[in-house]
This record gives sequence, C-alpha cells and structure tokens, in this order.
Amino acid sequence: MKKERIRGHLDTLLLSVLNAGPAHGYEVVSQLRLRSDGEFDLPEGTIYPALHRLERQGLLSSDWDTDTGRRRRTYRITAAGAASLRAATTEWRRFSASMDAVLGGAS
Amino acid sequence: MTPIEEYVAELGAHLRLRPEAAERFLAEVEDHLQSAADQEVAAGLEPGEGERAAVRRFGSAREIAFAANGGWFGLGIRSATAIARIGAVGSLAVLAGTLLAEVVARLTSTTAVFGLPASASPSQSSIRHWLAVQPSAHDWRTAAALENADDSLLLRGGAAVLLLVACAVVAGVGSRRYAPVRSNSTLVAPAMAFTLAAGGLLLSALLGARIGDWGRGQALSDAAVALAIGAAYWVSLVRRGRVDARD
Repeated sequence: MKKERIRGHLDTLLLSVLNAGPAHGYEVVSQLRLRSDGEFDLPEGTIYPALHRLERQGLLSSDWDTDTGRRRRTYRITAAGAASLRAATTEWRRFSASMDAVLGGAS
Repeated sequence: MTPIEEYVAELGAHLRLRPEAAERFLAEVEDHLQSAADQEVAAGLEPGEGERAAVRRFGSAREIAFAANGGWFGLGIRSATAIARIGAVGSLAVLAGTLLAEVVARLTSTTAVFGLPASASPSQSSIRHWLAVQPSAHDWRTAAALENADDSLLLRGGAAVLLLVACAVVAGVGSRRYAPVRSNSTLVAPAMAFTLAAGGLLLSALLGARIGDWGRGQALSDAAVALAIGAAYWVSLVRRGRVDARD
C-alpha cells in the first residue's frame, strides 16, 4: 500500500495497536506489520515522531522501563486517546461503507 | 563504530530538539535498532549484517530527523525563532544606542548630540513648531535639538522595547521545543550585519549624509553599539572555532 496513504492514518493505526495493551516502539511496529499481514510496512523510524506527537497531545503516555535490562520506552493509550480512537474508527467505518457502496455500485 | 552507533550519531547530528528530548529520542532509536538487529541475528544473519539490516528498515536518518524536528512546520518555527533572536539583539542595540545618546547629551549638550548642523536652514513652519512644543528653549536650534531628543527617546526607545518584547515572546515559544542551531552561519550573519551597520552609521555621521545630518550624535551612538555587538559576535565565532578545533 502506498506509504502516503498509510501516513495519513498513522495516528489512528498507532492508537489502535496500543489500545490492545502497552508496548514499546519496536513492538508497535511489529504488531502493525502482523495485524495488517505485512500491508503496512513503513520505514520503522517514522513511528517515533508520531508517538511523541500523540503523547504531546495527551492521547498517549509513556515511561521508561528497565525490566529487560535495557532501557526502553513503553507507551500506553490514555482515556483521551481511547476516545479519539473510537471517534476515528466510527468515522473510518462510515467512510469505508460509503466507498464500498459507491465502488460496489460502479462495478 | 558499529552500524547502529554510526546511524545514531548521524541521526543525532540532524536533530534540532532540546537536549533532553533529543537524548530520549536517540535512546529509543538505539533500543529499537538493537531489538531489530537481535531479531535479524536470530533469523540467521551475522551480527554486523543484522545491524545493517535493522538500520535499512528504520529509514534514512535525515528523513527521520526531519520528521522528528516537526517537518516543514518545525522548520518554519525554527527559522522564526532564529530571526526573533537576531531581532531581539537588534532591538537591544537600538535601545542601547538611544540611551547612550541620552547619556552623552547629558554629559555634553543636547544640541551637540541631537542638534542640526550649523549649515542647516529649516523652514519657518518647522522653526515655529519646535519653539511651540519646546517653550523652555531659548532659541530654535535648542528647541529643535530638544524635540529630536524627546522623539528619539519616546519613539525609537518605545519601538525598540515593543519589538524586543515581541521578539522575546517568539524566541521563547520556539526555544521551548527546539535547541538553537549551533552552526557558524548563526554567528557570521549577525556579525557581518552589525559590523556593516556600524560602518554605514559611522560614515553617514562623519560625512553628514542624510541619516547623520539630523542628530549626528545619535548616529554615532548607534554606530558604537553596533560595533560592540558585531565585535562580540566575531569573538564568539573565533572562540567556537577554537573549541571545534580542540574537539
């Protein structure tokens, strides 16, 4: 899938992955790839500016975790993030249904 | 250096975030790359190849840094912040020049600093205006000098303070997210600007060009302040060159 199209929905995709549970950046990328069957395969570094932006907006929170012996940042979705995800999901499903109706009618 | 260390160093060189934000970003990146490399090694690659594969998958250091720096919006903010910083220094220069001229006028005379040259022949309406607004003056030349001194303090000084406040606000907001760019161009440009301004003001005051004709003392005060600020920038540039050479 074209990278530009994915970038436009990256925030929603990240919120969706973290809605399933806290994770650090590498896990988020792995989950994104896994859940999309490899369709969403951005340069992995692009998620970090997005994660930091979502944290500044209050949709995510994070802290350092040293359980594994390595210092890694774990992200978790906030209540505001969950609400934003619900709204984005509802909007996407409405849009997707409309597209299906139009495209299905066109064929 | 390992491929991951090289990549993190390159990424760090392009980041424009505040030190604590940059340090956090690089720590996360290093951990990510190590996790990715470990997975590549577990899949059968040699450690060095695993690191290179992890770095390739992560993306271009310049592009990731550009996104981390806020993209085009961030570039706009950083440019506005840099301009505001120089604007703040310029405003301080105008304010300092204004106050210096006031001090020199008190030590010598208002007419000497703010007065018209002896050869000047203003219109009668101008003379009447000066005498009306400066009733304490005993002649029109003194009245003109006093009026110029008042205008200088109020208008130049007031405008300089307002501009200083505006620039300080812009620079303050921009500096909360981004660190100042540590490149020679941020010193060379203002060094040259202030040095050239000092030269221009000095020439105009000494040669009696239009700007220096009316309040030559003000132009000389401005030239002195501009020269001092320009010299400070050149000294900073030389010091930075010595530090960089030592490193």
